[in-house]
Amino acid sequence: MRHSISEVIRYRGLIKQLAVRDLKLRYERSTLGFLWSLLNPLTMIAIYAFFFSVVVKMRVEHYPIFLVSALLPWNFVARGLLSVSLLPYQNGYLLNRAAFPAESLVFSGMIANLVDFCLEMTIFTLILVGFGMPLFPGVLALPLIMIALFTFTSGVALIFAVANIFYRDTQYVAGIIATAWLYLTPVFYPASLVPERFQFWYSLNPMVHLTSCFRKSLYDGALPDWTSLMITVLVSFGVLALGWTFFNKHKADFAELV
Amino acid sequence: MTAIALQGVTKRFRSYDRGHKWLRRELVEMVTGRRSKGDCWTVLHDIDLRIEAGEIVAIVGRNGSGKSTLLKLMAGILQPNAGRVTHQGVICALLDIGTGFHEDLTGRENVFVNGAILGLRENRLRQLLPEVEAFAELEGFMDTPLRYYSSGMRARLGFAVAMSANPDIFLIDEVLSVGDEGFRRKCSAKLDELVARGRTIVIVSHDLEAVQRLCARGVWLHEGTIVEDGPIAGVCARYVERFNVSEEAPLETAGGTT
Repeated sequence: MRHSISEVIRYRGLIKQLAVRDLKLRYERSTLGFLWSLLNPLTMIAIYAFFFSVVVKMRVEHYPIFLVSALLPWNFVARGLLSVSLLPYQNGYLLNRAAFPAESLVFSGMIANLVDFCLEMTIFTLILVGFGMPLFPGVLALPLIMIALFTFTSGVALIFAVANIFYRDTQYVAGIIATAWLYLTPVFYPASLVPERFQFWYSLNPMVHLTSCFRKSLYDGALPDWTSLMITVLVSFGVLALGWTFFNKHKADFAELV
Repeated sequence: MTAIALQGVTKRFRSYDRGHKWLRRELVEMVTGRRSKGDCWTVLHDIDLRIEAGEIVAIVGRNGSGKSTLLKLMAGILQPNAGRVTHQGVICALLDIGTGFHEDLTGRENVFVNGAILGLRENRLRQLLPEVEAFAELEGFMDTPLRYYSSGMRARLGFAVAMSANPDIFLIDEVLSVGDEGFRRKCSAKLDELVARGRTIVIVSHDLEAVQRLCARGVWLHEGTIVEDGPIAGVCARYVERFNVSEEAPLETAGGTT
């Protein structure tokens, strides 16, 4: 483990270059540039906001902001699960041609994912200010919550990256998992709506805590409960350690399999 | 000083049948981390090879004799099933021209991605850029997307980046025949210069004429074992005699071996 961490640090230049390549190809080479990356979530938000506040009549004040404060972190995880985890498989020819740590591909995807997330977050924060929502002190907790989100998603992406290389079917299974996971996470509804007798099982989902922290910080403008935040951070690092160990155990076979 | 040492190296590949038991076996192995021994074929049998620093060695043999696999083991892209591979110094494996090149990126952007894959740092690449541009004879084309390059221009760019990597050990797989006669001569001169500076070079090639010009030592690989290891002229002569291949027109087409 310590060895692979130092390897990844040694190859940080490669991780950066791959992330830059990814972002450039996506944004610089299309006419509307990175507007596309915002147009897509904005459309989804408009649809969800209309559906859940007008049709379903969710009784939540400022529903669009309530929704987006959890939807953005959810999208970050979904991209890790569905796209970043495919990168080692898609770049198999690189793994078969050059000797570099395979996790560089996952981390480069995570960096690009983080850049997208930060852009979305910046615009969201501007909207919050525009609506006169209180930013402080909630926003101060944001860096720590983002570290937890990043480590957790990296761990998930590493685990699914291994599975994607071993079986091509994984990406379809991941799609099903993503749909189920979205509804098992309080994105469209407040966590308090979940009946008491399911609360224990419900709270085993780390995304429940991650989205709750984001919502507390951005929607309520308040600091999250420190104990639960610390547990969330620890669990996230645990997931990363687990994913990375799993990845390391199998990465020697990647060059042969892709 | 020994640059690369292989001791008792055996490499097996597994055939990946997709029968009804495939998924179950894979799942069991993934959980236990153990690989079953069935359905393997041995590409390299118990190879002992020692290459001293400053040597320039050619590996010859027919398609499927295990040459590229041997090179990938030296580079650390593949791991041996038995035996040990050790090396001293920085290795650069040129198994492909322009690994990681992307059509939509400019020549300059591709230099940074490709260079990073070869293990070069960004600021070092920035320093080397004029040199790369001159060596590749691509002045004025560095800001053009790769899709407008001819295949010769791509190959020259890829080779120029690899040449600037300046590693201690250079592994080259069947990429010597790039560009026109003038560029090929320039590449040979560059390789000679590397040898003069005490670098170690291992070349896999079907171009017997070129390897006899460049190398002093030849290793003849046949069906995964070393048939002969000695001065290049003798090895090539007996190889030609055995398989009746003409030096000017080799029976096999270049590349395509794994």
